[in-house]
Amino acid sequence: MMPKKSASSTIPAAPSLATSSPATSTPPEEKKAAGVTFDTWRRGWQRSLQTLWSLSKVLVPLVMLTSILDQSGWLVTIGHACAPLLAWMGLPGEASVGLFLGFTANLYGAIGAATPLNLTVKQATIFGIMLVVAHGLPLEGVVLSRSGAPGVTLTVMRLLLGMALALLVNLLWPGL
Amino acid sequence: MTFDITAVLGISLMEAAKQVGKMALILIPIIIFLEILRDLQIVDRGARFFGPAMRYFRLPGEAAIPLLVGLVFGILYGAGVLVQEAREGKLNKRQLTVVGFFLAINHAAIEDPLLFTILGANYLLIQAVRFGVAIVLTLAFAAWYLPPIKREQSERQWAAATESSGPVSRKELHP
Repeated sequence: MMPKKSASSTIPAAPSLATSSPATSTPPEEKKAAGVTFDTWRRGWQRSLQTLWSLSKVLVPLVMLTSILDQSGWLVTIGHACAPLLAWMGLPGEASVGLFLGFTANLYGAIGAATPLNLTVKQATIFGIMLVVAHGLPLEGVVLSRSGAPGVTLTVMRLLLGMALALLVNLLWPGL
Repeated sequence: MTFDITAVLGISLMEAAKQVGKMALILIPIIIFLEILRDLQIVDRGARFFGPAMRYFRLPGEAAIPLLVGLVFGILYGAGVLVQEAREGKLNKRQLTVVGFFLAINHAAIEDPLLFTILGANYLLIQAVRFGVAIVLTLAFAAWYLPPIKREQSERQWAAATESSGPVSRKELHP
């Protein structure tokens, strides 16, 4: 789920208020009893399709782009440039495109870019650990700043931490 | 280098379609599941449950709400609750920084690691590393950055949090 940006301006007040996401415009109910109704399923279904649609708009071009880069051989060229750095983390150089997309945009782009690479379990896990800690840095950094936390410092910390963890897991995990 | 554009485009389009399909398989159940969590108000209840544990992070019980919301629904919602609590004076700037620290590392914990199983990653390892690192680093950071909570104060939190049962309202959590 990628929450819409507008939610950061109209701040969700309480956990239960997070219900009324900007995507589906359910009428604001003052006091709602706890319980799963048909409406829950309907809302979940609708929202998942909306999310999927908005993601596809990002995902499809990115997967296609990487696939074309891959088939044309350019991905290998880019990969060679980044290979020494990524080798420390046990990743092939071609993963750099996915990492860059993940750091700057979101996880969906990163996964899209990494799909054609056929990573091993170890590589995919390292890739995942690094990105799960550090992703969508510009947007999430702004969100953190808006909440009053030191966004820039935390963002730098995430990036360094993600890389450190990738190095560490690569060192501790024997084999490929 | 000759380059059959239709073939290349065709292959890339197929890859993209496969990817969207996999994403649908993961996302649709997750989002429906999150809707169910919301309507059962499990997060509100969980916040009450975890309130007392917040003292290990040297935080007041109220901090459990933004933490849990961020962990389940994502950083955007967690930060939203954070702003609100700060505005109401329930968290000061330093406490808010500690909550932000945790959430920066670990948020949307149901969804994020699951996405990487598409690539064949080890789900449990990703989850364990992320939670482990977030908890350990936040404990260390809080111990250094925040003053210790007074004993009497934390006992009052215990009492408030364990007092009555039944569905929680925010009012009960913050009398």
